[in-house]
Amino acid sequence: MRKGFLKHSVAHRHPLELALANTLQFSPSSDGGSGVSMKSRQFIIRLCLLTLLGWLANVSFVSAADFLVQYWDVRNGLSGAAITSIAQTPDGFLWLATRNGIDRFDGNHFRHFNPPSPANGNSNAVVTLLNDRIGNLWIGTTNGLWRLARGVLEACDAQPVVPGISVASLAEAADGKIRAAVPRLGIVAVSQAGQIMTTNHLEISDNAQIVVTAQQQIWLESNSSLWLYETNGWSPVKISGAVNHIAAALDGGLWYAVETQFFKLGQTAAFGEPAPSRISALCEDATGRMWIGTRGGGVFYYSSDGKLHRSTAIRSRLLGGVTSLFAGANGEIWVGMSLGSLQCVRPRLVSALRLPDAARESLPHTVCAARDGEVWVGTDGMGVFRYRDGAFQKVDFAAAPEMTTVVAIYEDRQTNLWIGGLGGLFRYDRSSGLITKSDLLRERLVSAIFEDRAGNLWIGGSGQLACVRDGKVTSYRFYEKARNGQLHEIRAIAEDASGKIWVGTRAGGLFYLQAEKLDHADELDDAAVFALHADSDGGLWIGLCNRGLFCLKDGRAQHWKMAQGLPDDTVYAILEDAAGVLWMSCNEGIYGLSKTALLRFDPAAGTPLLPRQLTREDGLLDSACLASGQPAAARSDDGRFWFPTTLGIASFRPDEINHEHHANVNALIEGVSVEGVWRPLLNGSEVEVAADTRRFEFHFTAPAPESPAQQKLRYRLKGLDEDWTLAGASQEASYGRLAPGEYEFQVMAGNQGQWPEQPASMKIRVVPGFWERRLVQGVAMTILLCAVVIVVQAINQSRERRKQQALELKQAIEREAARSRQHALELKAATERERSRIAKDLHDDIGSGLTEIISLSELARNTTVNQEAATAHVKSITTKTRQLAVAMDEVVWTANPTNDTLPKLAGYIADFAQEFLLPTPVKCRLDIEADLPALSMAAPRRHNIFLAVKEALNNAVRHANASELWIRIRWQVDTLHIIIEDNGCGIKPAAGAPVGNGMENMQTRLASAGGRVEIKSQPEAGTTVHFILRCLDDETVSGGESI
Amino acid sequence: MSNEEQNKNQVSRKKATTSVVIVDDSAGVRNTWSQLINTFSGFECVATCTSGEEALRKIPVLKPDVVLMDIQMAGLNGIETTARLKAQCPETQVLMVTVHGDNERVFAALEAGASGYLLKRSAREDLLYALEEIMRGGAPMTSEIARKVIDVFRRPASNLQADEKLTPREEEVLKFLTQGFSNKEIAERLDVSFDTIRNHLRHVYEKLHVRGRTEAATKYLKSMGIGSGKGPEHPYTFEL
Repeated sequence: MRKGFLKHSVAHRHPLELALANTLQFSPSSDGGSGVSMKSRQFIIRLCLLTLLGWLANVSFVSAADFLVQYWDVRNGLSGAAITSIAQTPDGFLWLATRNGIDRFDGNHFRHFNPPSPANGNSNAVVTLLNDRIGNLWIGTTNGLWRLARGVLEACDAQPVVPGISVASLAEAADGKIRAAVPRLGIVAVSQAGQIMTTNHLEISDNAQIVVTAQQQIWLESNSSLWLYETNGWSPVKISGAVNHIAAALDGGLWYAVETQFFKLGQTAAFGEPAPSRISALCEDATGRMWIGTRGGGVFYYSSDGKLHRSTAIRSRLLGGVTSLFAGANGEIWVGMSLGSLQCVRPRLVSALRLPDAARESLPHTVCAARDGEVWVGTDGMGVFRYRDGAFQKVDFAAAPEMTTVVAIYEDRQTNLWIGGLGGLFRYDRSSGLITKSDLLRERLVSAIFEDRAGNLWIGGSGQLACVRDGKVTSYRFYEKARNGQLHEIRAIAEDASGKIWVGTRAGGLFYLQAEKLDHADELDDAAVFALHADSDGGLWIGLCNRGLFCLKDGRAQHWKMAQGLPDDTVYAILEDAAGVLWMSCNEGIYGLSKTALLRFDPAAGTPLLPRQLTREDGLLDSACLASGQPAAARSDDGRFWFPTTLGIASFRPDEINHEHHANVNALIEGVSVEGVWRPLLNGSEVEVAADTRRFEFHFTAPAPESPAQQKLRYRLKGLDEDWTLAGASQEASYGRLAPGEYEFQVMAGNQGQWPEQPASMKIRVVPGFWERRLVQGVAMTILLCAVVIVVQAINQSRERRKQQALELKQAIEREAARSRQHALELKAATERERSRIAKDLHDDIGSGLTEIISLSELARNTTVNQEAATAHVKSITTKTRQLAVAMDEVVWTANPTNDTLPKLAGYIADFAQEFLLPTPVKCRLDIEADLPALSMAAPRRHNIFLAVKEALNNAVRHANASELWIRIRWQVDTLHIIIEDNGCGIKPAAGAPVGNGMENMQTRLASAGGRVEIKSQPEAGTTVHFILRCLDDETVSGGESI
Repeated sequence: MSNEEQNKNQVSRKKATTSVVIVDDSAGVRNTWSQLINTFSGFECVATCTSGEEALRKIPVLKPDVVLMDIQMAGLNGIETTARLKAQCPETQVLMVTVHGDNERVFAALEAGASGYLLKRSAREDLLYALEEIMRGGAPMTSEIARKVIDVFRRPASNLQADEKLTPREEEVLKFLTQGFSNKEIAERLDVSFDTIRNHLRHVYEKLHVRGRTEAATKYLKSMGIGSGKGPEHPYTFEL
């Protein structure tokens, strides 16, 4: 348990590292879209980025925690050229203009599109993008004006709607016509059909800008001066200073920037503080907040008091200046940089309070957001911390220093703070600032604190529940102990709409208070209940450990688990927000699910739930939560929700997390790769492929540039797949060979809690090969039938012949059988002997060992034995078991008839000796003749020789005190020599008889194997044990093999 | 407490580790070894397979660093599974798991592409050592296997390229192995570093794999009627 905590502490990193993780690490992976050769530039940029990481170490941008930033560059598939314009089409895709073409971004991947180079060889860089009211995307290039209708990208293969012109800027006027600023020509009005309606000749610069305001005025910035279009044409508007940039204002006016400041047209005073360098991009987001990007690369916003704030966007000379700013559909700001990177600055939805350094090794169990703005945190083993004035402070428990693990902190209506944990219950008195031990519930562990609607305080501990009513304490007990004999540790208490008190326990399921006792509710059996939430509609929501989420409502039980789309099967805490969304914490973080979606869920439909998971993109520090009591999460009076996570406390306002936008985002099938050949999906066309096609890869996407993590894609191939498959981030699905027929590939994008009704689909027709046609099959069948008839006749003829031969053979076999029966009897006797030997070995070696292991296990199991002794027993069990495994190997090896040859025996001896001597100081050396004859060696003989060798090795290890031992195996004419030679102390004659007990054993073994032993020994000059066996092939001895 | 357990797992999942897959038809071995491997820091058992067939389905997708392959399984045995697997994922290292005295099979498995072997009853430390060694590129070799390697390379084979034969130094190393010397002792005797010996062994394994493939291909050609005309007898399948 402590180990787990320590592991978590690894995640406590330097804040800068975390900021980088936030910015760089979770940029989605690239699909390598760009086809442009930009290698040298990419290299330089990569080098720059590496330098940047070092440089960033000196910059602190983390403190501006209101916004979070995400970052993408060439490594994610961008081409590395300056992003000059950004647009978002109504389907949700983000479009980026660069000199190398257009990039489409869906949140996961960039897809690159290259407008074809014109025949005249002029360059064709994309300069500007415009999304018009119909939803078409207009693309202004240096060589023509193009238009994409509803994401059909293949239009890029078509002709430009207006060829030849170079476009600097685009805007859509009130008359529905597109105004294009064309350098050296003027302002061109283009109809939706692509016809040039009018041309106003003006001197237009290459970086001119044209803007239509909400009041439908058309403004032009060119050569640093400002122009306005009126009925009689373009007229200059006098401005003091050179205009850098213009942008439409929300109120219908116009913003313009001069050097480092910007102004609302008509006002003489500049808006807010000046920027540190020249303003290169300007935009006002949907909330009216002003954003500027500078040539120095910074992105800033203005607070309502006109103060300038640096956003979290990464600024570096190595990324270049800001070339475009775009306010996305969901409040995020997209930043295009001159050296080709893209950033997204989004409001931080989840704020995080990191635990102080003193508690880094610990984990928070409970949080309480008190009414006076203080945040109290109970930790595991490190006591209680109080957050006040921007800093954590440890709370001193003078009355009980052992109060270190705190699992419940609750502020009651009288603003008394109740603190429960492993040291009991405490009360904090605001007025005196004193913490005193309370004796309302005398339990070692106080794990749940709850206040009912009447203001009565309920306190749960291990084994009982107490209620404080009008100053009087009533305590309630359980009818019976938990099923496994443990105490019921109360983890959660709730009061339902009818006023009934429910109690969830860790070991014994759900209980309710009835007749002054706690009665078991049978619905949940003995599941561990971690969280309870009773809603105002009479529903009781129950978070379980490892068993998901339960709801009891109107006598009906509903149940959801990971299979139904929950991120995790454990629920630690449940809070409901004003919109009826349940926010729950689990091992995978925090997520919200609306009660309607849960109650409407149809398990039979197989459509998984889509929880709104809080991620690092929202500002969550770590995606793991935990709790050990109640409250496991808190709601403060200002509507904020507070959850403990492994790295600290996360808090958010649920109403800021929009739940339902983009609900009708649709998936888009881009096409299918058929054995590597790309077939785009064009206007619902059907793709036809041959039956022997071996591989299909469908590619699809769905736009969610601002929140890819909240989107899930699922697909199926109708005609083959019954069920939907959830797609990974790769956004492709592969299939192997398909049987001929009609198929339909379908994709669906689930976003913000909903799945759309209709999937995107693509039809595939697999055309049968010629051999699969009926006629061809019929002809083949006829030919086959004829062949069968001919074969059957031939077989009949040969069968007659064979009958005759078989008769003769049968007589011969009977003669042979009589002979072999005799032999079999002899063999049987030998086998019986061998069997009883194996049985004896099993009994002696394995059986006795097993008995010993059983008794050791019993000893270790005996709870009165201390830990050390138990460890020693387990160690003996391991040793003994390993010995048994070796013994078992020996028995099996001996019994296995495939080992009945001399080379096998030699090999086994070599292997055994090495393993046997490995843990000893004796080094094993081998000298085994390479070409030992493949003589047959029956099991008993083999076994005896092996045991004799083992005995010799044993003696060498025990008595010889040798450092090296040689095993030599030789074959000479008809004799096998096994020589075991050591360099030890030799056999001392004084030790008594020249041959010890072990020696005698070897003699006996060799004698039964038909050989003898010669032992030579010199004091201090080693011992040589020599086995000599005159070998006859065992097969020859037993009289040849029977048939 | 189960929640802490889960947290612990979650943290270890985040680290970059050597992924291991166990292929064994015994549930006991699968369970205990996978738990054992998960206690090693830097190693993670990402999947277990109950049969060779399952391994051939799962492993090409998972692409683990190391596969622990039981040599004797019902259905597709460990040797054939190894051969097919190496054809699909040459990067994956295969470590055969065997009982004592199974040298013939072990050798066949090495020819089929395995890069090491391990006794089924190995202690925890031996398992860890074997996994670490195979990741470092060299797996230990016992004297009996070394003897077989020398034998097989001495056997006349017509169509071997120069780089499919043992170099004199490699043969020297193998000789020492057959005599029971440990890698460390050999390094001392040849006055080279421990890593050099490991490198030699790695090359020996690679040559063994090349030989295994060439031999299988030759047999396949024969089975196609180009050679002796006998039917296919070798279990390997190749796309020529």
